[in-house]
Amino acid sequence: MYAYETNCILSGSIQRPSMAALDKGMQRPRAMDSLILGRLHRLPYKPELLLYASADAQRPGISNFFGRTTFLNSLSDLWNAVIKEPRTNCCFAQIVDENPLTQNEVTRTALELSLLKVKPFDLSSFEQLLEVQERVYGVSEREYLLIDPLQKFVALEPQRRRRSERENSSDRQKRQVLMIEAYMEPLSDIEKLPEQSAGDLIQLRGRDCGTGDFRQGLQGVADLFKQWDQWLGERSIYPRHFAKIFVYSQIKGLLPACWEELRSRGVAADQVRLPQWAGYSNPLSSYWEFLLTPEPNAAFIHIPINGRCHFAERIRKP
Amino acid sequence: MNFEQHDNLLLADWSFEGSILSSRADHEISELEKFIHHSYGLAAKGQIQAVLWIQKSHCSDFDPDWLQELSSRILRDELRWRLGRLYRIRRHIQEAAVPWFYITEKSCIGTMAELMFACHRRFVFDTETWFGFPEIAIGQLPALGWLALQLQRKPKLIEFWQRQTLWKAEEAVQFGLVDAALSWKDWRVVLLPWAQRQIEAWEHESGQAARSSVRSRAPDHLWVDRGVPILAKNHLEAYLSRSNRRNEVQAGLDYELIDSAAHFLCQAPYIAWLQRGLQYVETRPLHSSFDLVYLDISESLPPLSIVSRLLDSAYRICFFSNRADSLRENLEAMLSQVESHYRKQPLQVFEKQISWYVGQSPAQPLFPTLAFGSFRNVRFRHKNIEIQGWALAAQSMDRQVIEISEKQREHAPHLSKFFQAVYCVNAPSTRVPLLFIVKSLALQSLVLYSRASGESLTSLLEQLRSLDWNLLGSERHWQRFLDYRLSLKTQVSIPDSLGSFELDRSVLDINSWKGLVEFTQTRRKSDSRRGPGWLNNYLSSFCLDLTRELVKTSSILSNVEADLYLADAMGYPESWGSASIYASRMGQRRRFYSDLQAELNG
Repeated sequence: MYAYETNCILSGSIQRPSMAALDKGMQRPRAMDSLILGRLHRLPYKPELLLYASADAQRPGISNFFGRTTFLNSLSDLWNAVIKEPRTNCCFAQIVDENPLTQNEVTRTALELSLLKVKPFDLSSFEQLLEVQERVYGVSEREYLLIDPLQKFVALEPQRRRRSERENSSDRQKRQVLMIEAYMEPLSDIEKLPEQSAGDLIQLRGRDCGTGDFRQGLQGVADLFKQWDQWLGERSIYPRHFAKIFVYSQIKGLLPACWEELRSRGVAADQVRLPQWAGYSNPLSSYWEFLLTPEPNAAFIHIPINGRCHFAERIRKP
Repeated sequence: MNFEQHDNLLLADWSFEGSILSSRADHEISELEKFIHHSYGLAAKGQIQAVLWIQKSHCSDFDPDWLQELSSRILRDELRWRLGRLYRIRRHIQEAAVPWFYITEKSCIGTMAELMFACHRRFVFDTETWFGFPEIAIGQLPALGWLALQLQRKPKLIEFWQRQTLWKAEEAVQFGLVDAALSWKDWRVVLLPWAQRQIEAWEHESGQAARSSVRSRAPDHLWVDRGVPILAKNHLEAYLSRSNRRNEVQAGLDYELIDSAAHFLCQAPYIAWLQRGLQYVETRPLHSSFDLVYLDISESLPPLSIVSRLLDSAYRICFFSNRADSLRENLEAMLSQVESHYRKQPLQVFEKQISWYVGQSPAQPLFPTLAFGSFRNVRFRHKNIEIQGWALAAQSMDRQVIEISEKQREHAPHLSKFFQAVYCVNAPSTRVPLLFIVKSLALQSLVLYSRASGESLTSLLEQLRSLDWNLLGSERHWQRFLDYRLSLKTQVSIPDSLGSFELDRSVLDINSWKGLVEFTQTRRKSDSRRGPGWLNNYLSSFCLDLTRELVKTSSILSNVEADLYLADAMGYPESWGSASIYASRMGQRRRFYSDLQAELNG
């Protein structure tokens, strides 16, 4: 069982530039460097720790500038790095490639097929949720400068990307990536708020919870939400009070059931966010999206396949 | 100094920054003594098998506080007392019953390095670090006895230590000063299991015999003041000449060493050396993590000489601009310049040093941020410091100097890593720099000369170029100057005079170089003196007069500074130094400039 409660100052951003799918080896460390350097420049002081996550586990070039560098594989890595050492302030950077599972029409039909398998749920209402997701889900874009294999500079600008999208929307040469940069500064004492703080002061709480293995069946969902209710009830919070509820699960068949449970708790469709629905996402990045959301309060539910789920909630302090 | 006990080892960390010879270190030294006492107790009970000592900050004697203390306050006896304590600590570490493992990611130089080398195993987890005793270069022997003991056994060794005083981590491994050096960032995560393996290896190597041998310990002598009996040039000579006549085995404290070290540490040569070393370390840090410098290239490029100097001294440079387009154009231009300068592909050679990002410049950046404007104006920002200045020389020139306001004199050291010289000046108007006034006076005096001599401006510029006045001889330079003047005209009333230097304003109403040339061409005389030598003398005397005027109007405080300032601002030919050097060398008494002016007025 893993439970934590902390106050920290967070700032960061999530961008969604599109990168030419030409050269992965040359561009990725550069893009990571550029993410980190842009963030470093704006910070009040130099972070001691660099956290990074990347699909190819390649160390960014700037990493030897930091006292320590840690590669994150999973959520528990993140908590080991951040919560267990409350004195360090850290910088986080991540690039998430397009998730091949949930991007195109094929996966859409695959999702629908898996939805068909779980008949007892109201599919029409889930479809409605997905529509809301598509409408609501959007993140800021940003300019980037990278080098192509011929050592020429390629500027990636938002308006150019849109034009090229308009020209050939079916062109698969460009793939989208998700870039996350964040700066985290844990606080042991709320009164001792540093004067030069870049981000929001938030209170973060979370715990693990075990249900049955989802490979055996989907029965654990009701149990999971009961435990969630109980956990929230300890502090007399109700699910509908959260401005955003992030639900991340690799098992797509589970999502209609989750939505059913959430709906029965009075949660509206635009309160829910299914990060994996948009692709370019993994548990770690969806957790950071949850951390960096502009909403004052948000909740996060992670439902992995082995049933060791994770709840978290963040509340912005005034 | 903090420490904690894990099941069979003690973990201590050393985060004291500064010299351990200074009085600031007294507290740390007593903590270290307590720790050694504690570790002895635990080792006697068999509760620990090793001590892990982790150095967390850069250690060296190049500490401004130590220099301050040495030159103003400290007494030799106090220093001797501290050296004695440190000497005992060194001996306790070396003769400890359990092995001491020293771990560091940072450089360790000077007195502290002796404590490090006294440990049984030394590990370095960053190869960009430095170790050694730089003070040996002036014949100062480190006073804690580790090196002295070796020298007693084998005096020839001193040649080895004198040949090179500082080693990079990998070199230190070659010579056996450090057991292993590698760049390993995540060592803290697996520190304990790693330490267990080291303990096993140590046990395996040394065996039981080495551990159980009882060391004979003679009682320490009472303190006797012997002074430094012989006259010697430096510490090393004094110590070696004494130690030749001495019994080889030293029990207790080596009073010879401590006495003579305390004596020579208080001498002027050591203080002067420390001063030089401090300056050196400030400009070229021995740290592994290079400093990061941000260069804003949204308006114009920084001079190549600044960029190449930063690259050579191992700074990381991050170029940035608010738009991807301008960043791409400027970066391509910059990198092709760098490429021709180094004759190599910069992106491959400086892969770790050059990077870029697209984004806004923050209001209070964490790292030094330098931006060049389109008229050679410079904006430097670092945390809450903001400096506006003007680069004097041309962009392509190797020597880059800057003028800033006198009010910002305290921040001038920040700029010294970018520029070779920083002039603090009091401009008569807050709106325009002093450079502008100097330039406009120079232009007016050129026009005056052209009128008096009857030579056209174009031929004047040709003569100037052949005389090595490259800056004044450039048409483009004057055109840029007129552009800048035009851009100012709409905003402020421009002061074109300085003290008694009041010239023909009508010249300056012409906005283009072409117009100016036409303006001067019409007046032609045949009987006047002219020629390159005459022109050179004229300009030199103009510089001299202007120097006096600058000091008189207290724009610049000293005569020497004003002279150098003018040499940089006017682009005085390098082979002649400056106007005052030229005048004193040529024995020049005549004041060509004021004579000519008087002639015209009269």
